[in-house]
Amino acid sequence: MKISKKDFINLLIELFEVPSAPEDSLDLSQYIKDSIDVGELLSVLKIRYQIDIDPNDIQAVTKLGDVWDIVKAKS
Amino acid sequence: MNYNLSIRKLSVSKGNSGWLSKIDGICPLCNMKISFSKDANGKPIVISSNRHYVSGSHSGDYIATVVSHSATGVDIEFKKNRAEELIYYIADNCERELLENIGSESLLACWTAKEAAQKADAFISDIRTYKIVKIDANKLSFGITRDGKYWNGKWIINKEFVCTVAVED
Repeated sequence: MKISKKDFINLLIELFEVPSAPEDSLDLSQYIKDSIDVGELLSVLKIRYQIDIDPNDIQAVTKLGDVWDIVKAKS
Repeated sequence: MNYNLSIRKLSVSKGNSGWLSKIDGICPLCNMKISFSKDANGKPIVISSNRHYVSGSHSGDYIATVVSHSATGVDIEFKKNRAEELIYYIADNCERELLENIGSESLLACWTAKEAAQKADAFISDIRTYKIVKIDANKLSFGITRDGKYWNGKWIINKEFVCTVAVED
């Protein structure tokens, strides 16, 4: 299944209760705090959208726009 | 499995940066004085002895620390609803079948088992490469392996959290 940016933002809202209509500059480390949170995001991307992201690829990335760029590149 | 686990509830959440200070400097297993530092990757190491291993974890208001004479790891996770996809991401069919014996906490039991083993293994491999191969649901114990290495593990499950220790065999 293809993921749109809107889908991705809705996923962040569903999993981590980020604010609706977030800016690309939103610091996701406020919401994705632990390794299990990262695992949860990657698991939904892989199983719901067939997007396989290496955990190391998003470890150092914190801004929503940067994470979306990685998701978009892999989708 | 020789280890000493401490789980403490903090009155104020302080993050996980200070958990080493929660170990009082005396090994509870042998009463030897031990002191700590961190390696280049931030992994805690015992600098006063080559026969002590420490690990720590933080979730919610809880801090868990473990000291052992074998390579060890601990993970604690505060209970909250998680996406059901997570169990399919981290566990294969055989593991999911084994984990059915743990009941409603199988997801956190699986995650913390793999994270504890990964810590005991110095974070050298993806969490999904650790495979749970044995579970004793009555004793809440398990065995987990990766590339010929083997760790024995123990779960502590209560109404607020799941905490897991893994110790190298």
